[in-house]
Parts: sequence; structure tokens; C-alpha cells
Amino acid sequence: MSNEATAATMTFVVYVDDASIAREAAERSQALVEKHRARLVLVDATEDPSLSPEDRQAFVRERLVPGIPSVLFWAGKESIGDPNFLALNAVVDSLVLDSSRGSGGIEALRQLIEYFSQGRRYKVQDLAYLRLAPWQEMIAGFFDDPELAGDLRTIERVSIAAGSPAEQYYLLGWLASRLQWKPGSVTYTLGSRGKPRRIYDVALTSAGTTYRAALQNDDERIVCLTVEGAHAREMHCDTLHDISVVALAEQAILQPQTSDVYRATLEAARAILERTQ
Amino acid sequence: MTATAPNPLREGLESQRISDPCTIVFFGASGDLFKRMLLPSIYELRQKGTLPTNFGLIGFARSQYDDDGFRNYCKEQLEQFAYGTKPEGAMWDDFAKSIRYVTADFGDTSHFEQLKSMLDENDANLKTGGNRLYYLSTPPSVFPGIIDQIQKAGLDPRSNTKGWTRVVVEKPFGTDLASARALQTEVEKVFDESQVYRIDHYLGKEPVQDIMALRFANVIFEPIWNRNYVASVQITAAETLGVEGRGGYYDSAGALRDMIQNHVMNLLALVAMEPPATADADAIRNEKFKVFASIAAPSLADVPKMAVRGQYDAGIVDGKPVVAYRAEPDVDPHSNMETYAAVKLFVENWRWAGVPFYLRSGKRLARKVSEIAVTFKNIPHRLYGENTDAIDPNVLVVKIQPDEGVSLRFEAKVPGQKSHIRTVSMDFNYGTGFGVQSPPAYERLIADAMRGDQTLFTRWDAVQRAWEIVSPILQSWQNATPTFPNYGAGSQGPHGATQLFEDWRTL
Repeated sequence: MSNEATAATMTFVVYVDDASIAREAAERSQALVEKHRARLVLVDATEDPSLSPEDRQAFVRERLVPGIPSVLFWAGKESIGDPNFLALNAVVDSLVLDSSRGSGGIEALRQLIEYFSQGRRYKVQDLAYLRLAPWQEMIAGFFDDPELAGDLRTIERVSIAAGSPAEQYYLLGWLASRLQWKPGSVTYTLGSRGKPRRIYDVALTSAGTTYRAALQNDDERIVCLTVEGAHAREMHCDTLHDISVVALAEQAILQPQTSDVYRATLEAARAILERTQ
Repeated sequence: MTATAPNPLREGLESQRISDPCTIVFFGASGDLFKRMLLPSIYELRQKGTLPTNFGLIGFARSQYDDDGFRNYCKEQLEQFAYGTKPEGAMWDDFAKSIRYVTADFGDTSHFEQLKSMLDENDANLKTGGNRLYYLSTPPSVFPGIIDQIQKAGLDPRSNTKGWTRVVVEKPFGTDLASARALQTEVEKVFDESQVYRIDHYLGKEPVQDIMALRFANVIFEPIWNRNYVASVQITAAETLGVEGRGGYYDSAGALRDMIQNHVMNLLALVAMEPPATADADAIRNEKFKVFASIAAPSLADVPKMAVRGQYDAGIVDGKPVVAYRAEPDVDPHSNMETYAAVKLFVENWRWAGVPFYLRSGKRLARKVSEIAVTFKNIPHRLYGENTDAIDPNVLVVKIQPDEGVSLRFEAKVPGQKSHIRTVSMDFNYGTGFGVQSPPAYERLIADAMRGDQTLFTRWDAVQRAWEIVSPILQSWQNATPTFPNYGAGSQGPHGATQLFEDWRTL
């Protein structure tokens, strides 16, 4: 465990318990706090595994700078189920985690939903959700065209191909909450493909038209948007903005508030997950 | 104009303020401003996802191009001037599809009719919804003719029943009060004020926008932001550059018209305005206008006491010799045009009565700096410091360029047993403070015009009042022959400026 730097804008608490990423996490965290003039409190559980959650909580509590925000960046292997998480999350103002971290299963998202459904505080940023932002922009962009706006209410099918399920459920939850889908009114197909934490292909099908955003095969920074069927449009390509963990983490710590849209998305994702159990 | 229901998927997204589908027409698209500033800004907006998906760009200028030729021209310019991603790959190919061109004589109505056909084609093919933004990036002398042709060809807002029509007018808006009024008369025949976006790119700079946040998002400044605590305000826009190939234009404009009447006076308005009731464009612009309305236009007899002009001679700038203004290309060798102007103004209202506002701008000065310095009054009674210690007044500086940030100068005790006092500075810098660089001004302003947000654009009443204030100075200077050149390139400016004000901040 280490305590670096003087403080200015926030205390940035980072928890890591995986030796394979500990060094990289420390370096990236250091770069972030230097850029944003924050105090870094790095909790590296690989250094002394015998410490109890209470010890770690005390270590962090002593190093929080009074009167300025504190953010926990949770990079542990387990998430909500880890007692260290509960101990550290209890002493900070807001939480940043990645439900797709590690193998990218769905369990972390389930635990997060469960944690907040128990009435816990909601000041959380999930990188798996922030990762969707460029896709949300592009999907919304289809329906900025006034001639296509009406089709939003007639979506019948959604298919999402991605490398990990958290992003898929978040995207479904976002669509369902924004468009107020009733349970079972829209069918969806979730395909597993490619690397974790990457979305590859999203298609929304209405009565007569399919709206599709898909990564270009030869350049994964480019997404091509097609509209086929009754309202066919010429293909259009867009840049996939930087969705690296560092860029997303930076965005998360600078905007620690949890939006109403995220809350609604989480609720809708919960309902969808319950129906699939 | 068509009204559309809000897209429910847009709620809460970062780029919620993305504009409606539209086509931008750049009049003067083969010019310098287009290739250096406007095109790179549009391309960067495209990269950032701020442009609408359904978007068209039409160049309209004298140079001979077809659509493909103009696309190639744009690509070449972006390779040189793009400040973000360079034009390549699928992104460029996609952007290029939105670009078209009309080779035009600005006096020929048939070319404007050709433009109208192209806009209709964009509406059909690119689904741009009948929304048009005309950007006048031509020399100002052509503005009235273009506006007239817009009407004749049925490109005006009243003829457009499908969507909105807006016009962006580059500065200068007129060259004096009479020409500004004449231009406004032409503009009013075709556009409502709500459709006119008079651009002053200074207002798009992030530190300029931060002036209002500094004043109205903090409680500590506003109580002392008045004549009881402020001794003077200095606004400086100094350049080390000369006329840089714009000698022809500059020799008919000068520092007062080119900088003071618009950029610098707009900064003054932001410093001196009352808090607006809301953050709406008109609420803010109402308050800015009230500032100008509170500044008395000087009489001709008063001008020598409140304004100083200068013209640079040969000298050394950044270690290199440079020629005198009169030796610059396209400048009259006997020119009496000022390359430096300093003005003292008073805002005669309850808040500012008696506080001088010193404005200065010039070319070929010692340092490039744009800033606003608010100097506070001296302490009323000395308690600290040795008698030999100078106790300087506090100064709050809003730095606009090249540094962007805010600094506060205050007095502090020097460590040790004696009670020496020394001036120290507390600095905030945008780059390091937020870890991000400010986006270029044109990027912000073009996006605002597309969104229909007029907050950062100048309203006619303010433009007119600013001309009314500087007109007596222009007239007085026109009536008297100056002794030019009167300052060396690379210096602090003409000696006369120190007679106007002794405490100019050192450049």
C-alpha cells in the first residue's frame, strides 16, 4: 500500500488485487492524479494479503483529504461480493468499477444491480456502461432524421453482438428504458463474439426497416451505419471515440454523478436479466 | 419551419445539443478563412460526432472547381491545417460525400439558383430537412450583394417552408457607423435578427466564456466587482505579428476597427455587465447592450484626451528584424493607418461610475498577449511591511491567449523575523487545471450557429452602439495627420499611451 502526492481536487482511491495488472494500474493511476491534481491512495492487496478489510478501510480513511470528493476505483477480481469492496466503498463518496473486467461474465453486473436494489447509494459509474456512449450516440443518430423518428416506436427486434454481456444488457436496458418497452414486447438476440468489452454489431428492426451499426472489419475505430428496407439510406461511417479503460476512468472520475438515465437503464437491465434467469 | 418531437434516445447523451440535419453553405470557400479555420473546425466537429448524421457542405466561390475538384481541394487543405485527425480512410470518404461546390460569380443570380437546386438535392438525398446555414466568409464588401442574391434566388428564410435558414456574418460588420447601418438595412430585408449570427471569434474562446462563470458561479468576486473596490480595468489584445499578407485589408481598417470596436469592446461588456436573469442568449445580450449604452460616445474635442494611436516602425521582434508598417506588402508607403490603438472609456452606471476601462490593441508589440486585468484599490491603512516595501494593489488577470487561465496577484509576508511584504501570484491554467485543452473558437461557434444558440454572437443593437462609441475617434483621427511611425516594432507601443495611462501592464 502506498500514499503518494499532495492533494488538490480529489482523493482517488484505487484497489487492485491482481498481481498481473498491479503495476500497470499504479502507473496509470499516477498519470491520472498528476493530470488532475488529485491525491492517489493505492491499495495493492497483492502486497500484503493478510490485511483485513477493516485494516484497509482504516488505511484509506486516514489518507482521505478532508473536504474534497473521494472516488474509489475498484479494480478487484471480485466486485460487490468482496468484503474489501464493502469496506472501502463505505468511506468514499463515489464508486467507479467495470462490470466487464476480467473474464467479462455477467455476474459482476448482477451483483451491482443487486447491491443498488437494496437501497444503497447510487453514486456509481460503471465503465461497462460508459463504454456504450459512442454506440448510444450512433443509434440515437438514426432517429434524428424526422422521417425515421416514428420508427422508434415500432422496433420489434434487437440483436447485439459483443465480446461480453454487461455491455449488451446495458444497451438493451438503455433502449428499453428510453423507449418504455413492455416486457416481452421486443425480442432480442445476444451474440457472443470477439474480445471482451467490445461491441461489434447492433441491429434494430422495425416493421419494415433494419437499422444497423457495425464495426468495420478492417478498422475497429470505424463504425458503419446502414438503414435497409422501407426507409433505406445511404451507408454512413462514424468514428468510434476513445473507449480505452484510461479514457473511460478519466471521464468517470471527472463526472462522478449518476444520471437519471443510468438509473433507469439499470432498472430496465435488471428486469431483462430477471426474465432471462 | 417544421417542428419535430424530441428524440427520446437523445436524453442524457453528452452530445444532446447536436444540431438538426442541415447544409452549410460557405460563401467564399476558396479563401484563407475557410481553409485555415472553418474547414478544419467542421472536420473536427465531424470527428467528434457533433455534426448531424444528415449533413451537407457546399462551397460557393469564384475559383473553378467541380464537386470532385473541390473535395480534393478540401482534402489538401485538411492535410495541412486539420488540427485533429487527418483526412484519410473511411471517415474522410464518408465526409467527402457530403461536400459539393458551385463555381460562382456573386453578382450572377443564376449561380444562386444553381445553389438552390443543390440545396434541394441535399434535402432529398442527404435528408437535410430544408435547414440551411449560410456562412459569409467573403470580404465584407461582398456581403450586401450576396444577401440580395439570396433573396432574388428564393434562398431566403421566408421562401424556405421546409426548415430553418440562418446566416453567419464574419466581422467586421461595417467599416463605420454608416456602413454598418447600411449593411444592417440589407440584412433586415431578408433575415430576422433571430436568424443572424454576427461572429466575433474571440467570444468563442474558452477563457472568454469563463469570464461569466468566474463572476457568476463564484460568490467571492461579485461583492468587490464595482467602483468601491476596483481602481481600473485594462483590456489588452497585443500581437507580435504584423499584417501577415493582409496589408490590403488592414490598410483600410486599422486597429480601432479591426480589434477595439468588436473583440475588445465585447470583452469589456463581459467584465462590466450585470448578472443576467437567466443564461438565455437574449438575457445575456440585453445586459451586454446595457453596458455599451452606459458608455458615452466622446465628443471630438475629448478624443485626444481619451484615445491614442500609433503605427509601427522597423524593429526587432522575437530576435528577428522586421520592416515598418509602411514597408509591408499592399500597404500605402505613406499610410496613416493606425496599427496600435489605446482608448480610455467610462461605464457610467451605478456599479462602475468613475472607474476607467483602458483598452489597447496593437501589432508588432513586444509580446503576444490577450488579457483582462482588474486592478483593485490600494489598502486603506498600512499595517504590515517595512516602510521601504511597496504594497501593490491586488490584480485579477483573466488570461485569454496564449496562456489560458486566471491569476490573482496579492501581497504575502516574506518568511523571517522581519515583516517584509512581497507580491505573489496564484495561478490557474486551463490546460493543467482541467487536463484538457480548450477547443478552438470557431469549432464552438459553428456548432452553436447550427444549434441555433445565439449567446456568443453579437446582436445588432450592440454592434451599432459600439460603432457609435468609436465613431468620434475615427472621425477625429481622420481629421488630423499623425506623426507616424511612432513606435518601434517589438516595443511596448507609442509613448503617447503612457500619457493616457501610466500603469499599463508590461507586455
